[in-house]
Formats: sequence, C-alpha cells, structure tokens
Amino acid sequence: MDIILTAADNIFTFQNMLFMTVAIFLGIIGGALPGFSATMAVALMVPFTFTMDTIPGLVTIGALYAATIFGGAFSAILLNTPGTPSSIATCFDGYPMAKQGRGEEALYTASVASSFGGVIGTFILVLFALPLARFSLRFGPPEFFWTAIFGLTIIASLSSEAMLKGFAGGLVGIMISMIGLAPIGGDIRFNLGMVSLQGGVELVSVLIGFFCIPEVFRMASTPNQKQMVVDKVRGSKQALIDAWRNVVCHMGNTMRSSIIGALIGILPGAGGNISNIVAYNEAKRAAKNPETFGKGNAQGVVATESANNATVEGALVPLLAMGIPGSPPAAIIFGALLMQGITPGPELFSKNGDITYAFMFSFFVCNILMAVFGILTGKYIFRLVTKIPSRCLIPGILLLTIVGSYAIRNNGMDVIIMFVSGLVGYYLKELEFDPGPIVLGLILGPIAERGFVQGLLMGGAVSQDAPWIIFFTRPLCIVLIVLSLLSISWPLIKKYIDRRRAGRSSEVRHEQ
Amino acid sequence: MFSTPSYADETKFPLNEPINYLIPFSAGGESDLFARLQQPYLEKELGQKVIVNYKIGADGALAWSDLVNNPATGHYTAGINLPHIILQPLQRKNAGYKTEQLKPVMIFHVTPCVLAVRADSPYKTLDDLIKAAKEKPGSVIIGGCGNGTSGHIASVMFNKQSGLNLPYIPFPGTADLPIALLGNHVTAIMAFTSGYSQYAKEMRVLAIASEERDPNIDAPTFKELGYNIVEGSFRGLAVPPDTPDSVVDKLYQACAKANADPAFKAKVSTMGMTLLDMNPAQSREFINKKIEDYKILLKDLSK
Amino acid sequence: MNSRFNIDTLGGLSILAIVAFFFLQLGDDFTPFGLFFPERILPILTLLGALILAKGLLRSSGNLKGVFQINKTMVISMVTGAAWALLLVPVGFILASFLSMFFLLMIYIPKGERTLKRALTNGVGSLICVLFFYYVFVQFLGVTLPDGSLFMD
Repeated sequence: MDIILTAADNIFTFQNMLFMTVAIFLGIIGGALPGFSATMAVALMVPFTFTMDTIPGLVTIGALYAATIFGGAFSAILLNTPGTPSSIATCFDGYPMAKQGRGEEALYTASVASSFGGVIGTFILVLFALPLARFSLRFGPPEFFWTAIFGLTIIASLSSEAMLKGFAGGLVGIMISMIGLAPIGGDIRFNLGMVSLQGGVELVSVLIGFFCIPEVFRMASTPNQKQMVVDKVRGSKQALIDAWRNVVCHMGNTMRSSIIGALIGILPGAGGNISNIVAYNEAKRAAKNPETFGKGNAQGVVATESANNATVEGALVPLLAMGIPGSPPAAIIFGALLMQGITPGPELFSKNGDITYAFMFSFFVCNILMAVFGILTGKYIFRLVTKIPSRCLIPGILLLTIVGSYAIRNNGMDVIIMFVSGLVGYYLKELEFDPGPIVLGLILGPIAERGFVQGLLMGGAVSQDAPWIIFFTRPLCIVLIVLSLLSISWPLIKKYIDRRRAGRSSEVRHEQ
Repeated sequence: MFSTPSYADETKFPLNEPINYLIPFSAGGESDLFARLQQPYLEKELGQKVIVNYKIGADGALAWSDLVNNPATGHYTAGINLPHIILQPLQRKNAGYKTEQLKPVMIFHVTPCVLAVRADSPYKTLDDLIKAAKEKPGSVIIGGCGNGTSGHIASVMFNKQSGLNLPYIPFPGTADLPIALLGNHVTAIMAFTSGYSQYAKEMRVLAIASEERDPNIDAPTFKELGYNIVEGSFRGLAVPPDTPDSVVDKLYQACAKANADPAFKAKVSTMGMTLLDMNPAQSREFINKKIEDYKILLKDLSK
Repeated sequence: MNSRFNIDTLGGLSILAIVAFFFLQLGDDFTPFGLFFPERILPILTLLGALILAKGLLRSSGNLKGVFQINKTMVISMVTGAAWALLLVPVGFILASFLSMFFLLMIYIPKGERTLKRALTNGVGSLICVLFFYYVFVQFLGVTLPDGSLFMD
C-alpha cells in the first residue's frame, strides 16, 4: 500500500501531468505518421529528458512510447496504412469500418481498447514482472524457431478461404526477409549485387507499400469520387457509446488480446508487430461469426489495439526486471535509464523502488489520458480526412508514404522498395494473395531462420549426427509444437465442431 | 562530383552549417550513447550545431558507403567500429566502401571482450572451462554477438591458441547474450565490459581480452593466463577520404578535449568503456595493423 | 474465352517466378549458415506454386476478367509515383515532391475545368505542403531529407 501511495505522490504533480500530456499529444502525431516509428520518437525525446529529474523524464518517455503505438491506429483506420508495425491488423477491419462511414466508431473503439489494453498490461507488469522475466529466459533459439512456426500457422485461419495462397504468400514474405545481411553467417544475400540493398528490406517500407499504395491506386482510378462518408444518422455520441460497448461488452476479447499482447511483449525480439496479428487471429478464431472479420467487425480493432498497447508494458518487463530490453524502444529507455544513473535489473525494485514503481504506475495514468485524447481528437481528424477531396488526398497520402519510408532509415532505397512493394502488392492482391500472410512471413522469417541455424549449431555440439534432435527434446519446444499442430489444423477442428453442433441442434442434416 | 576538394575549405572550418554525425547502429546502442555524450562538447568546441542521425543496416555498411560519397568538407562525419570496417570489405563482394576510404579522425574508446559464465557455473577459472571442454567435447558452447565481430574474433583466437574447437553461436545483438547465458542456452559468452555491471551478481568473468585489468571487474586478463588475446570493439570517428588534414585535425582536437574532460570521463567509465586517445595518424596506423592481423584470421572466421 | 488463364494459373506462375528470382541468386559464395534456410524454404515454395498452378488448370475459379481494371488516371498515378520515388535522391525532396504533387493534382482535375487559377492554387498549395514537411522533418525530427545531388557544388 505504501508503495502505491508513494508512487501516486510521485506521479500526480503538475509537471508530470504537463509533460505527459505533451508527450501523448506528440506521440499520437508521431505514431500516425507512417514510417515514423516508436523507436525514433523515443530516441528524439530522450535528449530532452536528460535535463529533467529522473521521474518526470521517465514518465515522459513512457507516455510517448505508449502514445506512439496508439497513434498508429489513426492512419491504419483512416488511410489503410499501419502508422507503426504494431497496428498492421488494425487495417483489416478499421479501414473497412471507416469506408462504411463508421470511422468515428472505429477511432473511438481503438482509443478505448488501447486504454484497456494498456491498463491490463500495466497490471501484469506491476504484479508479475519478476517471475515472468525469469520464465522468458527459457526461450532459447529452438524455442524461438517454434514460436515463429506457431506464428506462421495462424495463416491457416487468417486466410481460411485461400489457404494455399496464404501459405505461399507467407513463404514469399520469408524469402523477402532474407534479402540483405544474413542473421547468422553475416553473408549478403539476394541483393542483386546492389550496395544499397545490403541492409535488406525495411519492414515499414514494405508495410506502407503493401497496404497503402494499392489503396491509393484504387482511389486514383476515380479521383473525383468520395472515398469515405460520415455517418450523419447516428452522430458522435452514438459512436462513442458503440465504441464503449465494443470493448466492455466483449471483455473476453479485450482480456484475451491484452494478455496475448503482454506475453508476446515479454519475449525479447518479439513485439507489437507480431502480437497484434496473433491477437487479431485469436479473436477471429474465437468469434461466432469469423466470416465478418475483415469486413468491418469492430472486434478486430478491439483485439489489435488492446494487444499492441499491452505489448508496450510487456516489453518493459524484461527491461526492468532483468536489464534486458525487449523491444527497440525499450532499448532506448534502457539507455536513458543508464544515463540517469539507474541500472535496470533485479535490484531496481529494491534499490530504486520509488522511481521504478512511479514509472510503472504512470502507465495507468497515461493510458487513460491517451483514450481521452484519442476521443477528443478522433472526431476532428476523421471529419478532416473525409472533407479533403480525394484528388487532393491522393498526392497528400503519396507524400506521406514517401517521407515516411525515407525517414525510417534515412535511405533513398527504402522509398524505391516501398513503391515496388506497392506495385507487387497491388498485382498479388488482384490475384487474391492477401498482404497479411506476406507481411507475417516478413516479420517472422528472421526469427525463424535465426532460431533454426542457432539451434542446429547448439545441437551440433551435443550430437554431430543428428543436430536437429534439439528441436524435439526440450519441454517448451514440445508445448510449442503441439500448439502449432492445433493451430494449423484449426479449420478442420472447427468444421468438425460445427458439424457436431449442427447435427445436434437440428434434425435435418445438410450435406457439407 | 563530390571528390573535388575546394581549397577554400582547408582554412575555413567549420562553415556556417551544422555538422552531421552519422551513427551506423540503432539509437540507444553504445555508439549512439557515446555520440550523445560527445555532442555538447563538440558543439562547444566547434561552434556549430552537431546533428546526430542514423543510417542503420548491414552492420554499418550502409552508413559507411554513404559517408565515403559525402562532400569532404568536414561537415559529414560518421562513427566507425572496428573490426566491422576492416572485415566487411574483406568478406563481402561489394561492401560499398573500402577501409582505406574511411579517413580516421580519432579512435576514442574501446570496450574489451570478456569471457563470462553464469555465477552458479562449475567453472571457476579459465582452466576449469578448458579442462571440461577437453574431457567432454560438446559440453562447452560459446555465444557471441554476430559474425565478423570482435567477440567472434576473440572466440576464434581462443580456440586456436587453446587447441580447442568450441562451437561459436552468433546472436544478433549484445542484449541477447545475457539472455542466452542466464537462460542456460550457452555455457559461456564472449561479451563486452560494457553492459556487464547490471549482471555482476549473476555472471562470473573468467578473463578479459585487454592489456590491463579492468578496475570494475575482478578477473585476470587473457594475457596473464598465457593467451595472446587482446580484442574488443574499438570506436572512432571518420570523414570522407578527401577531407583536408587541417579539418581532420580540428575535429580531432574537439573530440580529444571531450575525452579529457573529467565529468565526461566519469560518465564513460561507469558504462564500461575504456577511453583512448589516438590522433589521426595513430588511428590510421592502428587500423592498418589490424588489417594485417585479421587477414590471417579470415579463413577461420568463415568456418 | 477458355478460362485456362485465370487468377490461379497466373498466381502459380508468379510464385514460380519469385522462386526463380531467388534461386538464380543462390551463390556458391554463401556461407553454410546463410545457405541453410533458403535451401529449405525454396522447395516448399516451389511445391506450393505448382499446386496453385495445378489448381488453376484443373478447376478454374476467378476469371481474369474483372481483375486488373486499370484506367488511364491510375496508370498515370503509378508512373508518376514511380518517377517520384526514383528521382527523390538525385533531384532532391523538394523539387521531386513539388513536381509530382502538382502534376497529379492537375491530372485529377476533369479536362474542361483546368483553368489557370486552379493551376496556381494547386501549385502554391503543393509547394506549401512540401516545404512544411521538409521543415518539420529536417528541423524537428532529425531526418535529413535529400537535397538532391544534382544541384550541389
């Protein structure tokens, strides 16, 4: 109890509130700009915090981090472009909602869901940081390989209509991820001999290309038509009520997604880019009406947005408890802590307890402030986007995509890659290859490859003849294999369950 | 197009424009932290704004291939890391730059390699580890950070000199090493003195690959134990190849002033970095010597 | 039209083309570590591509009519966008972006309505927009947008 009071005392100062508000405001803008990542936002803010006291400095950085991840939802919903890789799956349902005139509802839903996700994530951080961080250490290379495989198996339910194409797309994504520097061995692969391709294909550029550019082309075919309408019938108040219901009346989805988000965030090397897709997929799997996902089901937005904000706090678990940064922005926070003279690690809770708890508890406050901000600004941003005529919107979006893909690494090649993936994405989409699985492959490819080759090297030390045996003998590996098998055969299991149910509830059997 | 040096620049530096300090690695890394510490000192000495920006990719090659094509006015600088700038042009078909093209301003610090095991490990000394590895091959696995890095080189040298063949498992970043060690996925790690302090209780350093002992770490050097391994990540600053010597010297003076400042020194030493002061000529000589050393090791590295 | 040529056959062929793109670059200079994973993935991808192709040949599903509904403004947008991306570094951010934006804005105005006044407002509008982005990113966000190497020296 004492801890909470001291923490509250440390957080609720005028200075903190002011800094937090500014950070949230800037974070939402930064997150909404495609290509401007949470890492960059946090890196830019860190020098300003050097002059501040420790607690306000950390609180500011934390609020900025959370708000950037939330801000990504704005561009996902309004422009079909994930503002950060953490809101990839928000596009799947958020953008269709906006096109149906439910943009306000989508934005409010994202705000409320992010807030809930963040608060649940903070609870997990405060209560279980130490044991969870210890547990996460048991994930070695073989486990990471299977985790990536598990991640890939969700393609089975993600694209249940065209599974063959879904898996082909996933593997294409993996191959694209191999362009550039190999994670193990350090050789330069598939770069067509070009120096500038040594650095590989930047995920954010491809995301912008795959999701946004085809949409721009589609808009460009009829540049004088309205793309989005405002739902005049129901008004903002109703939209807000609907948004609240979407989150609170489906608490199961919110809780599940947040927990998935937090747990994935804890794993070093896996972050919001994975958690939001996994949470989306689980929401789809659990839903009674999975066929409505991808066509504007608000539950899709709830799942991704609660998951990605829970990941923020999850990523701080190994950082605060073990001194291991679980995500790139967490790595920068690590640097900021060091420069403040604080060394993250198990002693942090005892030695610098007041600072640590104040930092952790500040996430409760900032996640709630964030929702308020999102709701206040959401209305105007949505109206603004719908008011701009498409013929001005198209060049504007193109400008954003170009600046964004350049900014991520200060690299002109990334802009070209962005546009090329746009063309390829458009072509493949017309042939019914979804961008979702390709992007998933792109994210998981390096994790799978690294785990695979490292695992073989580890196994080779134990047994020269059968180095692969290491992938099947470790207990956590077996759990992950079982999960993967269940996940990949889910469409079959689901069919079976449905048939049983249908058979029981009605006398007339339909031929499937 | 850029490479024509204009003679007006030789006397006039800095011009009335900001100085770019390009970091080839991600924000929050050691290169970045060090640059951020230097930034105010450099701005004061040079009287111009210093802008730290990033070009990440291909283990630094993107930034360095960018730098060598930049105008040679002294306003374009980049952090350099050894052994990266030597091994990449040697190992890759076309890294986009040559080691000779990076004109060193200064090599300003080093983080020596350390060989560490878990605190509860049965290996109390380096000899214990070697003995166990000889008795039961496969029982000792070393983890390190990447391929063609100082940790990798130190591991290869250790294998060579001890007559062992310990498997080396590369991990993507320095942050992954403590996970691999504490999670029991590898037996030992070839890590760095930096990033060690927070694990002081959970790890035991068996040996340091530096000339002298580190005051913060209670462990012998490899040299004391009879292995000639002095290896670490050396970091410095470089400019495009045609930058006039007078400009390079002004940049060097500014960096050296920062290194000599007591407050700066104190901050850096808590981060596990050892400051060095190599002027442009010494830096060049040091790099040339390392090129020769690494050429011999090259075959063992790609195994 | 015989529907042998449908989205599945074309999709399968595209996948096989992608496989070829990567397969042809598999060099003998790869380290064993770097070669390991692509050598496992490429055969599976080839199989999937062949299956999609076979599916298209045996059971025609989506006909190619109805997809790739490309019209003139769309093609112009694609070409402009590609030029924008390619010229960004050599020409510089400000000039490349201004020209592309202005051009696109003018193209989208229906033919009869392209007046000098609209051209002027569009020109000023896109210039302001481009300069605003340049200023914000360079000054505040630490992103050095390309100045264009053609005009230096």
